[in-house]
Order: sequence, then structure tokens, then C-alpha cells
Amino acid sequence: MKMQITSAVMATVLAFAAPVLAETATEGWNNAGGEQDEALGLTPDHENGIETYEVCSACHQLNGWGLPDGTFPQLAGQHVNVIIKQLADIRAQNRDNPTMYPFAKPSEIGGPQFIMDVAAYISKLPMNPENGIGPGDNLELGEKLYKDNCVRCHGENGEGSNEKFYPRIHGQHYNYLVRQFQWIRDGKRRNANPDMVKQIASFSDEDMDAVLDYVSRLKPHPEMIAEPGWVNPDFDW
Amino acid sequence: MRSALTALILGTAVLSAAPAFSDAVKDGKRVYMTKSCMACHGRNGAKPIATYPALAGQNPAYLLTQLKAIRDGKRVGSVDPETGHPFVQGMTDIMHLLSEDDLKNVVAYLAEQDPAKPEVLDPAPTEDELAAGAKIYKKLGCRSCHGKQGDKPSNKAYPYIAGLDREYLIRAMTEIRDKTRTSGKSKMMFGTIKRADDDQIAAIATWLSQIDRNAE
Repeated sequence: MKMQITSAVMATVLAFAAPVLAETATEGWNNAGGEQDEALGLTPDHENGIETYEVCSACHQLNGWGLPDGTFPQLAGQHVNVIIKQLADIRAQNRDNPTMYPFAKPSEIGGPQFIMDVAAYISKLPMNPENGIGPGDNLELGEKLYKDNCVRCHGENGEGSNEKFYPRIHGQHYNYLVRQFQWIRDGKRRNANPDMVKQIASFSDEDMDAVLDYVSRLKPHPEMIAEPGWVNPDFDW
Repeated sequence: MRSALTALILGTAVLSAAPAFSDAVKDGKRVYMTKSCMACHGRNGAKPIATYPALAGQNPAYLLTQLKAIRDGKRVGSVDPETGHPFVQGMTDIMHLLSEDDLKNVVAYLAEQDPAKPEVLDPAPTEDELAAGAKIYKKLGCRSCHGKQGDKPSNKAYPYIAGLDREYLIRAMTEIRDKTRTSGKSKMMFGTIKRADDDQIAAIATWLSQIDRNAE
């Protein structure tokens, strides 16, 4: 069940989609084109999303909650567009992730329909009620830094924006946030939004720890969070 | 009467030993499915993706050595030209998730699984190509450690190699021959494989990849 994308189709898609997706202030940040654009236009299939997710669950766990030590992020409830973009970036090697690389490939995950199916499925999973949080010893600084630097893109409550491809960061594991933030600041995460790189360039490690500790404690809307002990009923093991 | 009693005592002894072993297998299954192994090595260790090896029915002592070598950076191997990272990098990066007990349990679980079915090669190898691989395998002396068809290791520390992914087999043999992989007992294998050229390695790999351990 693999989609063959002819180069003619890809060229057409790119021609139509690129102007829509280009960010004026961040030219080139979100021009992955290709499979990403194809996926974005498709209607998700819930059953296929479950089937496709099974392989993802090996790392992101059946609930989509990742691991609290931050090795694997919490994906549940993440914006569909964000998931699709990150998969596309990992596939295109815009984002370096040796563990995940095989799974971003259409040959493993399936083509754009599968990408949309799994992204939509993940986006609807209830979020981790007990994500990994920081040490809690510098939250006043963290809150100030967040309000001064992050709200514009990630929102008052860390909810991000699906339309703008800004990730939801509340409810995420502290250690994962730290790793990504560090890599974005220091240039190792190459698909980082250039505006963000500029914004956090002057953050010290202490600033980073403080602001992310604050973020890790931001709570999504109660309707989005699972009850503690919730087990994903879509899988039987 | 006496032999029945002996049988009863022995039977009970076996039964009381069984729970500890089956716990290891059960715990190992949980490790396998929740600590990311299944993602690359597939359901029951028998459906790996890309060119990663199947692990089902492998010798647990061998698996344990490899897990530790990969974890500790002693087995790094060749670089995947697609990513610029060693093929094992994705695994090295997550090995901190496994405790010593996890390692023991997961290898116990994997050893109990039915071996993977051979992959379907396209185009299918000819009888002559398979025979050529078998011949080189015999000539080099691979049998003495891996068995007549790569399916009877002479030592619990040596791996079953029958039925593994062809590209993986080529990579393993090449890495050992070229001293890219020197961890564990691969130094011992060097002497045997050093005489093989790339074509011979490919021929052996083709033949081995088609052997179905389940058919025996």
C-alpha cells in the first residue's frame, strides 16, 4: 500500500503549495513541499491511523506519551501540521534523528495518506497527565522569560498553532524540551525556525532550564488531558 | 512405582523452575515492545525494517554481547551513506533505557521466538547463484562456527546466521573482514573472512538469506 508519487504530481503540488506555505518572515523554513504538502491535503482514515501508529508506539508508547526522561517526546495531542512537518523534515534530513529516520520514510510508514492518517490519530490522543517536569527552583525567572519571549508563537499557555506549524509545548517532558531548545539555540537542530533561533540566542543555560521548567508545568485544557492510568483502548497489549 | 515417583519429583522440580524462566520471557517481551526494540526489529523480532537484522530465535548469549557492545560504543560499524551516521547509531542513542535485568530478559524473550522467514529477493536468485554461495561458505570454513547452513552454531556465543537480511549479512561480513567491526568474537572470525572478496561475500549472503530455519 505504497503511493507512487510521480514527479509530475510532485511538481504540480509544489507549484500550488509553496506560495501558500511560505512564511514571509522566515522564508525557506517551511518549504518542504513534496510528501508534506500531499499529506496536508488528505482526509485522514482513523483505522489506518491506528495500524500505522503501532510501529510508532514502540518508542512513543501506546498512549503517545513518550518517556518522562525525555528520550522520546510526548506526541499525544500535538498539532497535525506539526507532526506532518517534523516527519517530512526527518525524512528529508533537515532534522537529524538517526533513531527515527527509518520511520519517517514512506517506504516504512507508507506514503502521504499514511502520514496524514497517523498524524491525525496522534493529534487526537489524550495528553500525558504526568509529563516529566523540571526541578522547580527558578520558576519566577522562567515565567518572566516565557512571557517576554515565547508567547508570540507558542501562545499564552504553550498551545502553539496548527496553522502556523508552531508546536504545542505544554505537557511536554522537561528533558526533551531542554534537548531540543539547546539544539535549536546552538544550531544542531537544523530545521529550527530562524525567528526562534534569533529569539533565544542570548539565553544562558540557566535561562533555558528556567523557562522550560515553567513550560513543562503549563497545563493543557483539562479536556485534552487523560485521566491518570488511562490506557489506549485501541491496542490490546 | 519408583520410576513414577522419580518422574513426579523431577517433574515438580522442573515445574517450579519454569516460573522464573517464563517470567524472564514475559518481562523480556514487555521490554522489547516498550523500549523501542520492536520499532526496528519488528514484531517478535522477526519482521525487521530496512536492513536491520531479525533477532527471533537468536542465541541469547550472542545477543547479550552485541547489546552491550552497541550500548558501550564498542560496536560502531560502518556508516549509512543515507544518513551519515553509523547504522547502529539509532540504537546506541536509546540503550540507556535498558537496565542490566532488561538486557537479560529481552534476550531470553527473543531466543524463544520462531525464526524470521527469509526475505523474498527480487530478482530471485538462481539455483546456480545459491549453489555458488553454498560452495564458498563451505570452502572458507564458515561451517565450523556457524554450522552447515548457518543454522547450527557450534557455540552458544556464536550467532545463527541463516535467514537473515541479505544486506545485513553483507554488511556484517564486510565489517568484520575490513576490521570495522572488531568487538566480541569478530576478531576470531577475521582470519576466516579476510580471504573473501566482495563478490564472494555477496554470494554467501544471498544463499544464507534464503535459508528458512523454520523448515527444519
